[in-house]
Amino acid sequence: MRKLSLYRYSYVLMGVTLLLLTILPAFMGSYYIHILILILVYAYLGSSWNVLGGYCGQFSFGHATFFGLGAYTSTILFMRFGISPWIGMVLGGILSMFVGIFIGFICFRYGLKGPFFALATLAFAEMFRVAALNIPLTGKAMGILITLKGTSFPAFQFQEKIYYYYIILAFNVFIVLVTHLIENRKLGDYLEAIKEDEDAAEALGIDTLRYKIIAISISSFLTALGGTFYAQYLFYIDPDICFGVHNSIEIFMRPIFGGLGTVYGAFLGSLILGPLSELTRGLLGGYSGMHLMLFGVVLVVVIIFLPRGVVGLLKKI
Amino acid sequence: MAMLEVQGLIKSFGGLTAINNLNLAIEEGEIVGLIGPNGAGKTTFFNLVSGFLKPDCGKIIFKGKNITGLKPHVICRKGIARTFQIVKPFPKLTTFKNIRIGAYHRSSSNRKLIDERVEEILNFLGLEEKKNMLGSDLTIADRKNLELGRSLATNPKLLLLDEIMGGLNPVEQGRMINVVKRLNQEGITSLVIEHNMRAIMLCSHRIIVLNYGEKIADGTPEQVAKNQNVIKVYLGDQENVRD
Repeated sequence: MRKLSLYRYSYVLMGVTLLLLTILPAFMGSYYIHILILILVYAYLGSSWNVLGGYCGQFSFGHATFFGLGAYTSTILFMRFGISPWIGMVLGGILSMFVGIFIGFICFRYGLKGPFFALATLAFAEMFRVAALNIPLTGKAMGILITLKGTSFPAFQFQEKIYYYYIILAFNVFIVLVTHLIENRKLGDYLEAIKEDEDAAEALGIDTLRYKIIAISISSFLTALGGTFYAQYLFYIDPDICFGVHNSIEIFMRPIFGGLGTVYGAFLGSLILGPLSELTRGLLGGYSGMHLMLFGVVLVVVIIFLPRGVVGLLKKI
Repeated sequence: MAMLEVQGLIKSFGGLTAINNLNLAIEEGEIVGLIGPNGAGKTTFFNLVSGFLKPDCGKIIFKGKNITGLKPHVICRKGIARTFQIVKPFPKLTTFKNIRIGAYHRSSSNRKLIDERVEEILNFLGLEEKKNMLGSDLTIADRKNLELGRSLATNPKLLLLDEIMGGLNPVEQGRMINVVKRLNQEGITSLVIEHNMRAIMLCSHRIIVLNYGEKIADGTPEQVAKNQNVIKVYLGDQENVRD
């Protein structure tokens, strides 16, 4: 007997959400669109992280590495050589993928798991941050300011926020489809098997090293695309914005909150955490740092009482 | 030619020699019992054959090919499947998915054929009613069943069964013995580690006894039961018995 579950209607729910997200901005001011864009950026980044951290169970604490590689690659190519950020985005993704494969190979080949893998990825992000602070090509601590050229699609620059909004919405639709594809195929089953029990997976004929590297390569490629978008949206990047620890934390917070290893987890997590963070900031703005404390409390409560995230809760209802 | 041949196998952990110059052969179509006191090296031997450990010395030959030191997933694809003494179901996956993960690398990548094969295994093991239950929700008997089902899904020629009857009641044990025998009729060779003497005597064609990593007896269940060395190992020396 199947339980009547709210989650069964996820297709309908997501269809309605998508429709709302498509229409809503027409009635919104620029500030709210900005908030929505940030929600969607981190929903996208969280979903990218989820392929490795959620499905495969390899908890990366350094996804800022891939974010930063995407942002810096497209920005440097655009500012130095005038190459369209769209092309730079793909090239950044490929570079990031190779770095991901390298990090993955080093870590997984020598059996780094759990907290050790997390620390290793954190160390890599820090290495990139320090490198970006010291290399002239990346503009050192000054960062890189992207010159405005007015609204131009090839230059990935728009004066209206709404264009960015629809681009990042499309990114999200894309990643939901990708995640869905992974989940319903052999790859998804294999990644989950590796997460649950690596020895058993290996005993059943799964080349665990190979599949973990596949997971990190997909994840790092997708994360880099989000980095490029972020750079093109803010027109400014620096080593801390890109490679900083806080960025890595922002990336994995949403899928953990929403539901690890689920298609919509990062999206739902971002949809709830985003406004919550803005709201607490607005309400408690007078007391500096207060909103972060409240935010922290909410996170702790959720992690204790909803270990499977918001999606886990919906599945139970 | 033997299906599995082991020559001069040695494995030590620090100062402890777990497997000491072991030679044995398993013929195709046999059910061979592997017994011995705790710490005799039975599970270490399984870990060596299935690739989870690398031997210090010696050769493992499967169907005429040297498989010594290959990775576990490669050995699995060559046709040796194992179960774990401490069962390792994927706790958050359903029984069906647990078994399907083993079935993927069979020749056909057709999803429908794979799912049919999984159904077949579920039926064979009597798990069809539990196919939507999570691995973590199964009873110990069902977990052992699932462990076996997953290995079967990989289409093995040789099964290494590590105490699949441990913790089962006599009825469940009887069922498991039947399953092993039926698999044997279908052409699967099995090597079975078991502490339950009744069970191992009932299902094995041949029994190999290990003690401190060395083979001390090899023969039919009747021969082994009468073997003085085996009795000594299990019950101790006559001289040490005081009245």
